[in-house]
Amino acid sequence: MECPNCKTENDDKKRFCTTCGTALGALCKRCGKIGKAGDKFCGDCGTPIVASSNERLFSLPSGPGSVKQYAPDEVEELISLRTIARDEEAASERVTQNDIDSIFG
Amino acid sequence: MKAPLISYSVLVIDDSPHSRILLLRLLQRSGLSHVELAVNGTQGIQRFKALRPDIVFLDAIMPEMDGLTALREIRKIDPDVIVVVTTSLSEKEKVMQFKDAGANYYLLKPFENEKFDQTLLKVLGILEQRVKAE
Repeated sequence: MECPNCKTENDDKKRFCTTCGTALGALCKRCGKIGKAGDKFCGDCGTPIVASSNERLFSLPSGPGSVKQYAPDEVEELISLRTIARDEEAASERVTQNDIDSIFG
Repeated sequence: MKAPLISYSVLVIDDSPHSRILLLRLLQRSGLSHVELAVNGTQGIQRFKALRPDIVFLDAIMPEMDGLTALREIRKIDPDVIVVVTTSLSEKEKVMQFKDAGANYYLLKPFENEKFDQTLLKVLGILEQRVKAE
């Protein structure tokens, strides 16, 4: 899936752009599912999608000439946010019915 | 599918009318005619206390009381009732939460009728074993 912000081509399974952190689709605030960009309602729980599909977990400079200097504490915060985003992605690992059958025995 | 010899009672807790009707029809087609319906977790717990069913089909995302909270309440009342979670939630974390809370089976929506039948056969097998053991 192409990132709507930086145009990076991401793996279809990714929920956020691996380059700039933009949500790759319509993020449901209720159940956390990500639908297609432009969706007005969550396809899983029916909650209206109020956030922009371009919502990012954090902002990073993009494009040539937009280099920004970060203070050490800002760098630490960004690294921390990246870690949180990575952990959230790991926690939201999707499973198939076969996986579930194995879990339940 | 062969109808069970014993008429087990079933409670379906799901806020989606489509899901409730689908489950009702599948259960009736399988010979289970004693089926009660509830539209959310709160109503589900009330019906559960009144009916004391043998099997519960439980949705996860519902208004008022979600499926995970309802499952925990059901387990406080009856540790043995068979609970089949039926939901579209496929995050491993969520699946594990339901397993840890005591769900017996977990069916991902949308499921095929064949998968439903397979799961129901396992459930009926457990119940029949329990009857024989008594």
